[in-house]
Amino acid sequence: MVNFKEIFHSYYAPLCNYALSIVRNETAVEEIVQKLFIDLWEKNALEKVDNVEYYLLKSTKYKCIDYLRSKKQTKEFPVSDLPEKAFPEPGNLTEEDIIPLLHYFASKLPPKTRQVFLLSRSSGMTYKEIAEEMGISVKTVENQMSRALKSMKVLLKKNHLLYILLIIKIFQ
Amino acid sequence: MSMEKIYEILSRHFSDEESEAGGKTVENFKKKHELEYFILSRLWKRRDIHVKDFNAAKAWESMGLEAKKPRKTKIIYLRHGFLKLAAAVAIFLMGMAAVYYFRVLAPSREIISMQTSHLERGKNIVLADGTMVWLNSDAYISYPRKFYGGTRTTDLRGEAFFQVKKDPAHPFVIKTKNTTIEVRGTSFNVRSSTNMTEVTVKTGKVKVRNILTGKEIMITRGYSARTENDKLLKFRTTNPNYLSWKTGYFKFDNVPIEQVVKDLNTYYAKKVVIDRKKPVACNLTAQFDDISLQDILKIIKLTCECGVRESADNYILYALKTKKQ
Repeated sequence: MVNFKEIFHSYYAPLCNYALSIVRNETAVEEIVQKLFIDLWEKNALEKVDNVEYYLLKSTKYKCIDYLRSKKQTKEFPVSDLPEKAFPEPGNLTEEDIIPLLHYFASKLPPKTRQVFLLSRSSGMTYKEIAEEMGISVKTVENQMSRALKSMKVLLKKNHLLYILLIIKIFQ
Repeated sequence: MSMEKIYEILSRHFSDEESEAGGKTVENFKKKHELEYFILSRLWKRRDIHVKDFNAAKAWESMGLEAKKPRKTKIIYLRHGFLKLAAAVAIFLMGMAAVYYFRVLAPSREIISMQTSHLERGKNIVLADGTMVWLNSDAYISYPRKFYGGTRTTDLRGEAFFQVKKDPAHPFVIKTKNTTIEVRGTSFNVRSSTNMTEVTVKTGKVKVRNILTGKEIMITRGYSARTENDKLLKFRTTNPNYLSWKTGYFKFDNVPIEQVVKDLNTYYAKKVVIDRKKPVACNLTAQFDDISLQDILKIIKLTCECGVRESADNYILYALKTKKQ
């Protein structure tokens, strides 16, 4: 069970960021993720899971959809915005499926790598501009960016299902 | 070559930081790992990503999971009167905090949505940041009562005109079914249906992104962009009446009557149609500044030398038999 606490600490913020790009409500998102972990704790469910990361991502997505569904009844959200399935059917992976994953990914990066990654990919700065902004060398920027790319590859590899979905989408 | 070096070159390549030495390596990688290359380049594209710092330690504490284990449970017996009082006060304060939260804090996170009816048009909304939105009929918009986070995001179905308050730090984003539109501070019109979105810029710059393909373009004054399925097109704005649904101002410069009718129908509730058996062939040059449809039809009747008859739902334009060819 020591393990559970560790898992919580390393996945809590990334999962919240993942959920935030779907639900767009910070308070709701924290509730969703906390409730998920409470369930997992009570049912001792993580013990039986092979791929913890994939399992957590999938469950978070289900919980987000439940949340959006419940909001649907109170008419806060456009009905048409509700994702039909928890994970996209092969061939239907759109930008909307990718964006939550990217938020998850960025949130999981170590702080410095994340800062460099976001300045480059979100703010659109060049390596040189980033180096100046952060007061580090271009070489360091380069190292951080390749570290980010490496972890993105790892994320894809580990969650082979996502990988397969992406492949099918692109080559359909 | 080491794996590390490859990551370095690839990340440079995906970030458009080309180096002379890297070109060949990238080509080799692309050949060998085609799938991987495609996926990574798709993910590596520029997008707005905003990472919030969620406090895991605090969340862990508040969940109190460790206390849930039976052997760690502590039971506190309230033996003393003052402890009971303290507990009562604590519960009362918590109640007050909850009331404060739901009454004062929570509403700020509320999402407001608005749907205009078939007849309602030009409905004007002011968003929390001062941005003004005019909704055409049959339009739907949802937006947070208060904007938070890095972007100001709204959802739109149908047609609306936006006059966005300038705030470079917080891009204004409009999502339609198939398109994301991003601006800093400008005014423009959005017309959307299930698989089509058309953006026409009045002032400033607007970034339009097809959600399906992730492709995006920048358009400025005098230009429109249309996304349809996986297409994304940029073209010069040719129709000067794209905003007439809101203003009631029409300008026609030698425009075929079919187009005139189409434009008029964006503004007036009672629709104008052309008689199919006796079609009117005429080009119109005129300006109407929010005058009644009857008056417009009188002018059309005189210039085009045609007849107008009224049915329950429509005005019908028809060619007169006596009209010379």
